[in-house]
Order: sequence, then C-alpha cells, then structure tokens
Amino acid sequence: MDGSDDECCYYYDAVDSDGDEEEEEEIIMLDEDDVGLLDGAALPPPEEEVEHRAICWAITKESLAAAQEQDLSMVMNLVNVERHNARALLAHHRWKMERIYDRLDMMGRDALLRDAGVVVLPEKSSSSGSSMAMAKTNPPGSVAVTCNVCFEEYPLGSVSAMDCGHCFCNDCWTEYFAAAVSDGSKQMRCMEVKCTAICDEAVVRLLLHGKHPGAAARLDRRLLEACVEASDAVRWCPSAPHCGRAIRVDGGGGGEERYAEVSCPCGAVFCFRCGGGAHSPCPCPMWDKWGAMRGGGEVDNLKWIVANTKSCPKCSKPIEKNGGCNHVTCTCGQHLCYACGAATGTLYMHICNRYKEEGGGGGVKVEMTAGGRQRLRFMHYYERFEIHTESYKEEQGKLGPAIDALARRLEADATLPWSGTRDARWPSAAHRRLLRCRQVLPRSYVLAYYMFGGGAATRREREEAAAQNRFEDLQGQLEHHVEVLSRTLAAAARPADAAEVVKAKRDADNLARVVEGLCAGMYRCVQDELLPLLVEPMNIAAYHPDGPAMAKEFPPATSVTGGAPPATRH
Amino acid sequence: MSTPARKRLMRDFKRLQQDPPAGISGAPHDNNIMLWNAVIFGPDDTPWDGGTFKLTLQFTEDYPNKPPVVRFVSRMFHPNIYADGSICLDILQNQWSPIYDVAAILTSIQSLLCDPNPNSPANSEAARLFSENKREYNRKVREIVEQSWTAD
Repeated sequence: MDGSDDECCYYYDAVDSDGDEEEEEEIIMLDEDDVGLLDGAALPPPEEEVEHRAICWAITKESLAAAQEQDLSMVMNLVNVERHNARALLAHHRWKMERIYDRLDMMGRDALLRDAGVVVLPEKSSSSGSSMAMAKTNPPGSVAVTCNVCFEEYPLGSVSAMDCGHCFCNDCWTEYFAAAVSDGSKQMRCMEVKCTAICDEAVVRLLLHGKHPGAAARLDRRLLEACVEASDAVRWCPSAPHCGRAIRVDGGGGGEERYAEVSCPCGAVFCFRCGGGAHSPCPCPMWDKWGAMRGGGEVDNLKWIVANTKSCPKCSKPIEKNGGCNHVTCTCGQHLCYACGAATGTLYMHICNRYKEEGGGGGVKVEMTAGGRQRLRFMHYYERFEIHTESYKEEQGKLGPAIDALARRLEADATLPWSGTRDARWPSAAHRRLLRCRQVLPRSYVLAYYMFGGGAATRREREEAAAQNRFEDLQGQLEHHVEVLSRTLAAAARPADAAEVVKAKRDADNLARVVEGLCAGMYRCVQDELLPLLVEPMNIAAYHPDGPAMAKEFPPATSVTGGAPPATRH
Repeated sequence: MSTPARKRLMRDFKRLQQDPPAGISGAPHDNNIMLWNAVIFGPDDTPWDGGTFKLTLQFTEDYPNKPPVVRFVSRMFHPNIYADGSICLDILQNQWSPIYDVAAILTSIQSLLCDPNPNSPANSEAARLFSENKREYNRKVREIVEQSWTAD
C-alpha cells in the first residue's frame, strides 16, 4: 500500500514535468483559481479575460405575449404608426429593435415604412383619398356605399376602410380574412387589386370574432408565434411533449449568440442554432451526418461488438466494465484499456485516440478494400464515441449518488482536519468537471471522424496536419486524465481513512484543473485552427466550463411599458 | 341556399349580360351556378383573329376569396397554356383579389393570348417558337384558330 502510494506520487510529478511549456503555463494560470474551486463556485474559463456570456431567457406563452406587446408599443411610439403597421415593421426586421432604430436614423420614417411595404398615407391625402373613393360611387351626401366585391349597397356602419382608403362591406372583409387565416397568412393585406396596405388588427379581430371565432383564435396564436419563427434570437424549446417555452439569447452581437448551447428550465439541453441536442465541439453539419449514419442497422451490430468483444490480452477472459473508468483490471491482474483492448501498465500512461491507417503493427500487411478500410476507420471513432457515452451514463447515474453520499459523510465526520478536506463541495465540483469533460469526449470523436480523412474539404494541407496533431494530442491527454479523475473519484467514494481522503481531495482538485484546461484548449484548437481550414465555414458554441447556459425564466410584465400609443387618427 | 359565393356569381352573371366586354361571353350551367361555360373570341388584327375558344370556369364556395379553376376546352397553342387547357396566369394564382369578377378574368385571359409571359412557359414548344420563329408560331396559331371553328 505504501509502495503503491509512492508510485502514484511519482506519477503526478512525472506528468507535470513532462507537460509541454504551454500546458505548464495553463496549469500555473489555473493555480490562481484555487480559491474559486475551494469556495465551491464554478471555475471561470482559463483565459485572462473572462468571456462575457450571452444571457438566456426562457419565455412562456404569457411572457412572450407581454414581450411582444412591449416591442409593439415601442415601435408604435417611435415611428408613430398603428399597431398593425408596427407589427409589419417588426416582422420585416425579424423582431430586432436595434435594426429599426438604425434604419430610422439612416433612412427616415417614410423610407423605413416604404422599405417594409407599409402603406401609411399622409393625413391630408388619406382624407382626400377616402372622400374621392366614396365620391366615385355615390353622390355627395349619400349614406350608402357600394361594395366592389359583392356589389351590394350598405350603410356606412356596415363597411370598413383601411389605411389606404379602400372600402368594402364587413361581410366581404370577414370572409376574406377567414380565407386568409385558412391559407396560413399572418399578414392581412387589402383586398383591392395591387394594394399592399396592411389591415387594421382591431378591425380584423372584431370581424372574425363575430362569425369565425375559431379563425380568430388561430390568428391570435399565429401572430404570437410569428416573432419566434422570424427572430434569429428566439427559438422554441425542442422538448417533446412541448413545454411551451421559447428561448431567447441576448448576445453581444456579431451573430455569435446563435452558436450558444442552452438548457431550458424543463430540462431539455439543446444547440440554439440547429435545435438538436448539445453537441459542441462538433459543428452542426457534422453532428447531423453522424446522427443520420447512426440510424442504420449496421450500427446495431457495431454496438453489440463494442459491448461484447472485450477480452483480456493476457488470459483472454471476457471483460466487463464496472463503473465509468475505461482503465480496467482483469481478475488475473492484467491492466488494460477498455477502448482498444491493449495491455497497459499500472501507471496507465496509455493513449490510443489517434486513428492509424497502417494498423497492422508488427504483423504481415493485409491487403484491404477501400470499404474495409472505411469500416475499420469508422469502427475506431464509433467505438470511442460509444464507450465515452456509456461512461458518462455510469458516472452520472451511479457515481453521482456515491459522490453525494461522500459529501454528506465528509460534513458529518468530525475526525477530519479542517484544512479544507471537510468542505463537502470538492467532490461535487470535481464530479461536475468530470461529467462535463466526459460529455465532450464522444463529440470530439465525431468531429475527428469527419475532419481527418473523412472527406471534409480543407485548404492548406500542412496547416491541417499540424492542427490535427495538436487536436489529437489535446484529445488524448484529456481522455487519459478524465480516466484518472474518474478512478480517483470512484475510489474516494468508498469508505476510507482520513489520510486517504486528504490525498483524494488533493488529487481530485489537481485533476479537475488539468481536465478543465485541456478541454478548453481543445475547443480553442477546434475553433481557431481546425474549422478555419474548412472550405465551407462552420462554427461551434464557445466553451464554457459549466456547459450550456441555464435559461432564466423571463419575468412576466405586470403592465405594458411605455404610454398608450398617441391617437393619430380621427 | 344562397351563399355569398352564389350571390356574387349571380351578380357577375347579371353584369356580364348588361355590360359585356368585347369578345367575351359566358354563362353558368343550367343547373349548376358553380360551373360556367365561356367563349373568348380572338382579338382583331392578331393571329388569333376569328378564333372562338371555349373555356370552363369551376367555382367553389370560397369564391370570391379564392379564384376559380379556369381551363380551355378548345385546343390551344400558347406559351402559357398547358396541354390540358389549364392556364398559367398570375391573377388566377398568387395575384388573385376578390375584386376580380368573371368579366375581369375572361378579359385578362383574352389579353394573355397576344401578350404571353415567356418567363413561365407551360408549353415549351410554343414558348420556343414564340421567341425563335415567330412566323412558324403564327402559322400554328392560325391552325388552332381554324380548328376552333369545328371543335365541339
């Protein structure tokens, strides 16, 4: 036991001294975050300037209506238009208020309205137009109007005119609106030939409610949801069954907020750009292709192979993994890597994340078909994807409760010295770091599958080789240290004496910092070195140590901000 | 039962009888006001002169908020008219307005005869000849004009 401990101590020293200069710098930098970790606070990203994170809001239907009302009121006051035209402006600018401010400054009111196809006649012309329109069909003083759709005569109280002055009977307007709702329209425009004026929302709602209440309700819902579908900054939560929330990401501009990963209060975690499950550092297009590929029956075979073909290289007995760590020990005493099946020493200095085309090792070179090579290549990446995915489930579902139990024991154990060891937050903090990095590993293999030799079109072959080497170095080290952290936490969760607990805490704290730095480094390598090589540009969500942003519930507005819109008519 | 569509169609028929546009004629079926027969006469001083082209207009209860389905029964040779007689015309599709009545529809189709829209060819041979070989195009038009006299 003592000998083994000494070996472990030597091991950590060896790791530190063998690390390259940049990693040493990162580790030194991370030392400054000791206080954060000890306090139990989330670690900031390992960069000198802490990145400002996009704020995420979870908006319920009620809050969405309130927020929409707020935007409508602002535009009505800002541009001095009726509600329906404010809505048309917002829709035209995809519900981005900044764009309306900018365009108003640049273009002026009239050009802004024209650009959005909004017809607002000046006051005098509007009156004149209305008078002329009525005069065309009736002598002065007449109290009846002929509708040009049904050709019937109506008293003034039974007809409606829109901003453009075109006037039709309410029955024809009603049927027209009902047909438009049935067609899926959100924007009601005038019936007159070539007229693009937008119909007054209040008139539309009033007429529809009277005769087609179902259509009126559908239109209301469609208008409410339109701002989510039109806006780049708002997206429906993809949960099924639907939780009813929309998620809004308020970023620092530049469109980067679209690449955020978001956690909805209902528990769904998703990529804001594509709506699928969170998948960084793998870009959306690669993740989509991977999902399509995994749907085939061939993958079921591979999954069986991954789960059932592990055996000890020494005694050939089948190997079953117990826990999340992939450095396993056979009952005969042999240590091995669960991912590739190779024998390893007790120090576990084993890295096997790179795919090597030769493969044969010392054996005779076997002639392989292109299909066979592709299958072997896929198998390499898929196997590690599957193994890390399973490890994540183990570490979340089984190790998690054990860590919670450990934290409770630490708080209750009065025999431990109060040098930070009894602080019960360190196991949970280290466990969170483990889960975070374990989530990232399978996705990094998907990226590698498509990025290196997977047909991704790249420029600059020399840069690609260097970037690939750097990425795979970071990935391999991350994988290795994640396994050590997993084993350390699993051991710490078992009952132990005070000295062992103190040592476990020190090891866990160190490893959490190391894996954190490696994970952040891998993201930077992907974003700054690999993805720029692609002919077709791709992006990924920025790295955050704590994973996807938690969307806060949008505070429901008790009243519409801003005053009532000024009366501009009558 | 008198629905808005039927009332409107009665009005359309009355206006067509009282004030018929030149070269247009139409009337509903005897026992079905939702199905009309119409005739468009080829405009004077054009290759279409003398033609009597028969059409059907099928209305639904959505009229006038939805356009009717209009189809030539006579054989046609025109860039915007399909082999089955259906017509590629904007006001019958996305540019429809409830303002358009039967007379307006038929007048627009009559105008289309001499003003094809080459950007949306429904008959590729007609579209090609119209732009490449006007003489052959006109000869083909006159051919269907003569056929329109005898076709039932």
